[in-house]
Amino acid sequence: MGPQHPSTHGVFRMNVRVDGETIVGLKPVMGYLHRNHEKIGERNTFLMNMPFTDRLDYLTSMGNNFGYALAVEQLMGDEAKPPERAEYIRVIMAELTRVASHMWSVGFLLNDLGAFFTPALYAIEERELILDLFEWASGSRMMCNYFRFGGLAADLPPGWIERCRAIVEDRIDRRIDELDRYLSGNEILLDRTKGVGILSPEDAVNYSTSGPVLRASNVPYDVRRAAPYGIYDRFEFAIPTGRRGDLYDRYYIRILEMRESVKILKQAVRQIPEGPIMAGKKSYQIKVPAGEAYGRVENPKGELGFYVVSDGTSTAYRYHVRSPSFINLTALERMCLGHTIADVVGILGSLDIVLGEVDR
Amino acid sequence: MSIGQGVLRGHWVTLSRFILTFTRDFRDGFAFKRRAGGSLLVDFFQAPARGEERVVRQDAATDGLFTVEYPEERLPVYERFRMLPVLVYDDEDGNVRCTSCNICAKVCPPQCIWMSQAKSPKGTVVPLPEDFFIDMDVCMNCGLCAEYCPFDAIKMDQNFELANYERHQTHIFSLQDLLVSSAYYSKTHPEAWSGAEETAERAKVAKKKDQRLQKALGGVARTAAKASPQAVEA
Ligand code: SF4
Ligand code: SF4
Repeated sequence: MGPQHPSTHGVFRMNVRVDGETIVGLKPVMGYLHRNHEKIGERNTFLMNMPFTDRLDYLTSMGNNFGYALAVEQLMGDEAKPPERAEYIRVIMAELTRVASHMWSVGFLLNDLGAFFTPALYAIEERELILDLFEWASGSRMMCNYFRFGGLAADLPPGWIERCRAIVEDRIDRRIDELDRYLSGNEILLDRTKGVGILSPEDAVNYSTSGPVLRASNVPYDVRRAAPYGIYDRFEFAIPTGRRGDLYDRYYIRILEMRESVKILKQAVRQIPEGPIMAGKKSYQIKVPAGEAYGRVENPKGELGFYVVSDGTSTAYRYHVRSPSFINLTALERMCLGHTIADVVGILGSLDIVLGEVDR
Repeated sequence: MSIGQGVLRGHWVTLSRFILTFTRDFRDGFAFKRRAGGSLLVDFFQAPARGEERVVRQDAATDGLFTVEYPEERLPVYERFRMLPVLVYDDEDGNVRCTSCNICAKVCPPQCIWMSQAKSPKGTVVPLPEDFFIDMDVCMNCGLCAEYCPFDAIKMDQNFELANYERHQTHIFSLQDLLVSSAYYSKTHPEAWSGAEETAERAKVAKKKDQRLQKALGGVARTAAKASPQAVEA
């Protein structure tokens, strides 16, 4: 079955065994974008790899930058500790990314369920404003390439923080409310999602799912709390969880998470200090001592981890990515068994995969 | 399945959006202006002339459905917005800033830059590019070349309208295709141009380069090895 979405051509389809309309077996078949991300990561110097991480989950490039920067900074030690202002900007960018990605995900889940385009359009509007902010600060809407080891590529331009403040202080909340009002009580949506694609907490853990998929199954695990990175330990936010682990919970958890992100954003834009944004001097030849490191972040789709081994040369000896979209797919069969073909597309939509990350 | 309150509430949200969109258009006076048309009488709306398009700013106060009717309307181009790299030459003396040091080629992730260094008539190397190529189809618009160029020579351009009929020749840009004047750059990047960092950098680089150039050429045949940017109009 598939490709059922234009972005899955050649990259993803499902091998489905059916009894009438009922699914009795399902194997996700990952094709290839032929990008070889991990092998290229071993050819590239550490810095050159930064723009390549943008292209993993291309909807969350700021978050990907963050994870990779953390991994290499871990190897570089104290000399690459980002200054205070950079830490704040990083958190702001990462949380804006989460809102943008969840907006997209909620909109497109509805699209997958057959509500052609109005919900997606409404959700994308807020994302649009966030992308404007990204473009303004980093020069690109999606392939931001904004983080550097020990800081950021550039400081925020004048006026940026004011617009950001205006958006997070009194706009996004209202828009999340509207989306909630628009969709969450809709009987058709409830009918299509309640009790569909249930993933039990045990299964969710055993399949090593992460992010909203795991939390919807009532496992309150979030890297930002479990292993705080950056300055996340300074902010107050909750880890929302779902109760039943069905499609509806996976939808609703994203709405709740957006609200928590806005909470973090409000704190961050209020507290952000002035100061430098880079530790040390900018250089294209960075020295990375030998050793290994695993840097991980709570990306919108789940735990994104970069495992980097350095042998002291200018390129990584080994570079591996733990990408949430790819790993969350392992639980797809478990969720689909016993449901009908029509539900499969919705369940897949609730996983919120991005194919750039599935192939790597 | 019952159609109940939830669906009705949803419809109300859609309807209010719909109304809001049109009232906004009337409120802001764009209801009859914004849409483009042809030149015939029946086309009713006039398309704006090239370069006269309305720039639509989206910010926290924007409401209704937002649609930017490109190409008759445009989003603002932010200064840092980056598309393809260009090489800057200085207007005052026509000198290309690039010294062919190869750093940009070294940091370029997809390795799409290559160049050759100029030689003086005596056969010694001159800190100028003889030729400089970028394969624009391979370029991933990352901006690293511009960020790490020590001579402020390569910069990211903002032109994104690059449609073309063919990809194997026209998109391999050579030195002549890449050159833009410093006046052009200062116009597209006013903030960076007047910023303290680039001003200081410019002074420093100009001096350093001049010294190296004088040394390499030994004061003779200076014009011979200089790349000539006359053909380029920014
Ligand atoms: S553009 Fe800059 S980095 Fe590239 S060769 Fe010229 S001077 Fe060196
Ligand atoms: S923008 Fe990036 S990919 Fe393009 S030429 Fe410069 S370094 Fe290479």
